[in-house]
Amino acid sequence: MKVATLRRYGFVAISCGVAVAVAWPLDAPSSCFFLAIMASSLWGGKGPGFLSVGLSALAFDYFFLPPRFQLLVEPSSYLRFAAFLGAALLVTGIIEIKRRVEESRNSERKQAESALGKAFADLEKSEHQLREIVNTIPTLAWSARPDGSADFFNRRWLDYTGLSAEQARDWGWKAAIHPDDVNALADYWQSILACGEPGEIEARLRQFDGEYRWFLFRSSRLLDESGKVAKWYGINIDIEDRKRAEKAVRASERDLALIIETIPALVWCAAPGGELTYVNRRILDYTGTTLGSLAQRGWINFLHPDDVDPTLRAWSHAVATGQPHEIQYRLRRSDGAYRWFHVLGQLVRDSEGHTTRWYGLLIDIDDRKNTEEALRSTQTRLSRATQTATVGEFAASIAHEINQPLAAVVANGHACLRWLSAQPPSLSKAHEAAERIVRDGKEAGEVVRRIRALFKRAALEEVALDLNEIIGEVLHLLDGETRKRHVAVETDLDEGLARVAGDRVQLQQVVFNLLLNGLEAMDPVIDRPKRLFIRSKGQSQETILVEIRDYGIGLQDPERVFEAFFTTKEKGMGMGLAICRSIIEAHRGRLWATCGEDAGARFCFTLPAQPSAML
Amino acid sequence: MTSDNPIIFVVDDDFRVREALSSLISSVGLRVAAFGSAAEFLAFEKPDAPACLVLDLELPDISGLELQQELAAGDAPPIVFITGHGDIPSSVRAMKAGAIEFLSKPFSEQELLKAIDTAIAVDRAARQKRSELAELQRHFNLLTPREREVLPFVVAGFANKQTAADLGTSEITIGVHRGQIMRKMGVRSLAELVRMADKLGRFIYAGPA
Repeated sequence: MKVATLRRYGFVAISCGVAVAVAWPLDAPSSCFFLAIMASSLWGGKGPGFLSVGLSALAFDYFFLPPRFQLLVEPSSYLRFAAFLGAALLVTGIIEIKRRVEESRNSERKQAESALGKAFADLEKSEHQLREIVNTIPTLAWSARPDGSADFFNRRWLDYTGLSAEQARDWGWKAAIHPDDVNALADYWQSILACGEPGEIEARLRQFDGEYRWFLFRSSRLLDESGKVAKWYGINIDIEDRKRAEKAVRASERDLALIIETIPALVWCAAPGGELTYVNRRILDYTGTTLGSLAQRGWINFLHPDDVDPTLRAWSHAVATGQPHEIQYRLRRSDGAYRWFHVLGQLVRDSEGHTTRWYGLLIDIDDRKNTEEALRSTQTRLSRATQTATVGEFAASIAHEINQPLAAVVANGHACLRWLSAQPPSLSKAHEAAERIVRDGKEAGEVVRRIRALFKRAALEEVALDLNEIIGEVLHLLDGETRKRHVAVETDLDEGLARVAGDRVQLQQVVFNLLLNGLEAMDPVIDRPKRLFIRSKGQSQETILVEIRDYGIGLQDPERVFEAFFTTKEKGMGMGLAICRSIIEAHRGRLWATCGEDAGARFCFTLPAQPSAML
Repeated sequence: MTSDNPIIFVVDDDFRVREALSSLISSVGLRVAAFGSAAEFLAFEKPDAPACLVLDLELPDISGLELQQELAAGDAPPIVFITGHGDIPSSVRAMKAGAIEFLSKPFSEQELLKAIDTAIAVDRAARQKRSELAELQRHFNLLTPREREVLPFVVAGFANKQTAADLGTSEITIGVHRGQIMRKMGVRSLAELVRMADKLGRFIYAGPA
């Protein structure tokens, strides 16, 4: 600073000296001093300017104004000196003003320049930061020009695909798209470009090692002031895991659906209130109808008419109580045939215990049911056949046993008469014949006695029996028969029934016979419902009564039916009721029949109750 | 011992029935032979007289129906079946096989006796026919083979000339055969010979072509 100042002031002295030296020979002092003042002012500034004015004035006065070499000024030179001094001050003033103006302009410019530089630095910094961000955000990002060609990919994008920025630039990125997806993606990208709206699409993107992963391609636009797309920005989000999970869920859903559709059962759902809401395809295929006609209560129309009431009763009960539903019914197939189904229903509750819906299954048990029925029918037939065969053989042997002596008696009787009426009568022959009659008559009596003894002997094995149980067993055995004959069986069994002492098989046979008779008696009935009614009750402390009531053709003579060989059936031997009565009588009971009040017949038997002390 | 006094065979395993039937049948003046089984009956030397077999359906060894079948081949007496408990199939079988009657025990005496009478009448006619046929057979057996050849031509009314031509011999030879046939068969007219030949029908095998 000081050196510069000294130099400036030195320059003033030197320039003034130079001006004196130059002006002396030329005798043009004013212009030289003015030049020196101008130079000093321009280069040295305000101080040196005024100094050079002072020095120039002194030098001008000393060397050039008369009296020369004196610092005095003659009055005649006052004007000249004043003009010089004025001009010099003017020059230096003007230069000073101009210099100041320039100086202030310079400083402004410098300020502006430094601010600019700072701004540039900031900008550079933030751009760097942005780039860092873009490159380090955990996703693949890119930008594209309005025409769709890419101009930037972040490092993650490049690292992931293994492509260089140059390779990916413009349309090079397509190489990393799965061949199956590239067309769809390109089309979609073009459509986005065309409409200028943001969008997203899923496609597979190749990893550097060649593995493809699913990505969500999402793009957004940057608009310029005029509202046109200036730039596209986009990110690719890795959705492979989500995609896999989705696929797994879809697969498991598909599996589940497949299971539901293919299990050999018919699946249904119903609202907690009992309205059917869903059935699987197998139900629709089976019934040959639509969900619309089955929904709500439409399915009831597909039940066998005989099964409607029990089914509805069971279902209402299940819905009312929330207990599992289980029943068997016949469901009409599309071709009109009915098949037996075992039906299961379960009410499902959510975690808070609210009932949500019923889930149910229909299991086709028709074949099993038919087998059961066949078995039962075989059983029934077999038991009847055995019975008939036994009774038949028995009857034949009884007939033979009785007819032989009877034939002899008759023949002897005639012979006797003929011997007596012969000419001449042969009394001895007649006598012989009469003796044979007596002998053979006794023989026939003996046969009858033997048969009765046979029945009595049969009732030997006496155990404590529950008659209701026996009735239940026989009803079960006859289940197929009743269904085949469309007979409604009603029971009224006294639960507190005392036991009886007797032979299980024989009493079963009695109940079986009476029930079968009742069923058969209703075969010709067409004008009224076929009902078979069985009642058991304790008639008194000592007696149990069982009543079997049918609504069949009825009885003409209620007492005669118990006679042996009395029958109203074409094939019957007429032994059934006779045997029944002898069995009941062997059990110290009574069996009788009456005509029903309006129709049919009523068979009752009583058996002595076992004293409860024996139980 | 040839006699026209009919004999009734009773086969029944029940002695009471045998006794009663024997008594009843003999009370109407008929001879009775009673047997307890089919074997006993078959072993019995039967007299040459009109007969009737009263046969029980149930027998201890072979059944009445089987015995009926066995007898059908020979000259068995007509059968009246009796049974303790007859069934329809058995009775149908028995009647188809030629039984006279099928009676269920106990039966009335009229039914049985009527059936026996019918059976005897049938047997008598059959025996008559059998003896006539046997007589014819005896005459027929006298014929030489050549005469048996000529017989059908004669019966059919062929002239000797044509018969001779057909059999490749002379008319005179045929005339001699014809005379021999008439003599041996014991007939006097052609008409008689024709009637005879008719009865013998089954023995005259081939007629003229």
